[in-house]
Amino acid sequence: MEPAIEAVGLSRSFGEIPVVHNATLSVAPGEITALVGPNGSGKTTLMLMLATLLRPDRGTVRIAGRDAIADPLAARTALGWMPDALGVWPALTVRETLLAVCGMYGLRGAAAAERTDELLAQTELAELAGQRSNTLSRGQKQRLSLARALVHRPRVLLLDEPASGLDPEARLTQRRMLTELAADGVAILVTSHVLDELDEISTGVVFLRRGLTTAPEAVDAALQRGSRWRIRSLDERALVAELDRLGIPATSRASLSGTVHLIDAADEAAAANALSALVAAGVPVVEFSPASSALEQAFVRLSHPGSESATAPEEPR
Amino acid sequence: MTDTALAPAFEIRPPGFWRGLLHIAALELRQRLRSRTLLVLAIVWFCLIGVVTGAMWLWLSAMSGAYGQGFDSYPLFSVIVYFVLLFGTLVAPAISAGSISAERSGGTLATTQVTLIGTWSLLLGKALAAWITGFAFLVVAAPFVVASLLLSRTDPLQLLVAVLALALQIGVFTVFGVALSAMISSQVFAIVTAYLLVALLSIGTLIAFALSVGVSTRYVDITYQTFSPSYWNAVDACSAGSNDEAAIARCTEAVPVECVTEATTVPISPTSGIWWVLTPNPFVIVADMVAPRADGPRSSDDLFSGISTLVRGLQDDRAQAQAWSDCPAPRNAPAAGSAETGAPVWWIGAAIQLTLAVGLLWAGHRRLRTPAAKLPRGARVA
Repeated sequence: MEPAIEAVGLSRSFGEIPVVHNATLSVAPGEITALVGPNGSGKTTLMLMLATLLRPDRGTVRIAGRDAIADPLAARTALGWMPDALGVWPALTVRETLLAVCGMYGLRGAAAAERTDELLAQTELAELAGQRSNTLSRGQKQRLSLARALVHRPRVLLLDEPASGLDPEARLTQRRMLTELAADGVAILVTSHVLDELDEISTGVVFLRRGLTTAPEAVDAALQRGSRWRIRSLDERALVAELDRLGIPATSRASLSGTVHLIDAADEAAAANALSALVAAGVPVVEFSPASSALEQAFVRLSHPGSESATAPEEPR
Repeated sequence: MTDTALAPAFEIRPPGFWRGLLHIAALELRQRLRSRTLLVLAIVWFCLIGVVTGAMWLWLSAMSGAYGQGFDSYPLFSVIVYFVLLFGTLVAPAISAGSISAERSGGTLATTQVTLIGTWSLLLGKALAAWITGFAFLVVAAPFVVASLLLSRTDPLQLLVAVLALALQIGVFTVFGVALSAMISSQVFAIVTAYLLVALLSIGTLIAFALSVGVSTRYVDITYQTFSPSYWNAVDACSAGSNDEAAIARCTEAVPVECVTEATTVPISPTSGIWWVLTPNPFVIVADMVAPRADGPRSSDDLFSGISTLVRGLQDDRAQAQAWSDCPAPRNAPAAGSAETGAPVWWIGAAIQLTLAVGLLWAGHRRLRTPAAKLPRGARVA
């Protein structure tokens, strides 16, 4: 299947400073791809180029098969973009905002009203339809912004930090929505700093570091590589003794659910072996899980490619 | 291509240039109507122009009463129209030069650019909305403009031309403002620049003209014919000690005419090369458009005729360059009639202004076009 988003060799510099350098990525219809990278790695610049707002110095962008640089208008009919800045027209109500955006896509009258009602229902904004958009909370503005990006049923969605500032429930709702859209065949490229979030919904990942996309093989390797695991047992002393006997170094740390022990495993097979050894020895293990998400581990590894021993930050759950 | 596989569930068509322009203008006007500041400004404006009209009328009627003339409030119309123009020049940058930079800083510009609205539709739609807002101030002032027209018994055709001239000027200034707000990221700086541009046309042209005249003035020695001192002595002698008018006249007639040639230094300021500097001045344009024709019965009673006649007269240097002669027969300077030879100037000024407006719009469009080639340092398009 032809990719819905395809960028090849994208480069862009501002003045003398290269921000994005030879970035290449592709997202197939129905796929949710995470675009991750440290702050200032060029994510937003790359998104702007994909969104036909910024002209790349070099490289090509195809959105739904259309050349986004030569014919931005054709690309825009298939493109929905949600920026990280949540701008609203302060004097307009939620419904008026969506109607205005409908007009910008050539929808008028009954068609626009119908589409607006659909979007209000889809993003659960129907109750707020008559409210001025500057009175909305951040989470509500996020939903309005997403609704605005969906007005013309785009086949491609570019979401820049869609989950920032959302409460856990709103995140769940948004995650469900994105999964549904992907199931309908929409290609979604999403950036976020909440890596757990992306871990759960994305089917692919593009890593951007200093404006350079990391090769997919390197990303796969980083995702597969084993790392730190957390273990919690009903009998803490038995666990410590058994780990000691097995010769697995461990550190202990207090968490909300009790004391946990962290071990390092070379890969997933080593982790599985350690678990079966513990269980076989009769240690009552109630929790055995990665200390951080695969994406988070990969993020840290790829951000510091020099330090082989780098491990993910220990994040209490 | 794979358009069939990726086709949207319903047809999306770009709204096109005109529909897009009207959509942007309607959206902008709807938001403007919601804000209270414009309403307050309109009320203040209505009261202000009411006070000015009333005070001006009182002044004119008191003046004509004191001199025992028939009451003539003819200049009232020109004063009121000029006041409306002054207000227009002060308000136009404020209502236009924030329109695009506000959306830029509010984060709604890029979300509009990513839709199917074209850059020209966006720019001109904003300009149209600002123009209509400016025109609304004209409508608020209308009762007093019409009242001044009735009080001064002016030709209704002049009212029509005056409204056209004011609408043109306010339109030009709002286009300046919108184009500048597209070009300049900072909203404050865009508004200040728009004010400076309007000041350049209103006041800068006057300063430039005055300085040019000053620099180019030459002082030339000329000779002229005049009556000799002995002639004047003889004439004075005729009236000395006599009260009989007829006798004095007879005596004066009898004095033999005696001419002498005298030399003097006069300043000559050729204005035929620089008069056009004044033409883009909004006050000159309105005056020259609205002024009654110079051969009319009231050709120099109001501000418009006065300014129009003056600027048209500057096209011709002959009036001041000529040496004159008082002798043998006293003659007036050949000023009368020469002013009428000047051509109308308003269209030259309007052409200069429109060229400027088109140039600024083009520059604004370049800056606003997406995909953007250039970004100012530190700016995010979102």
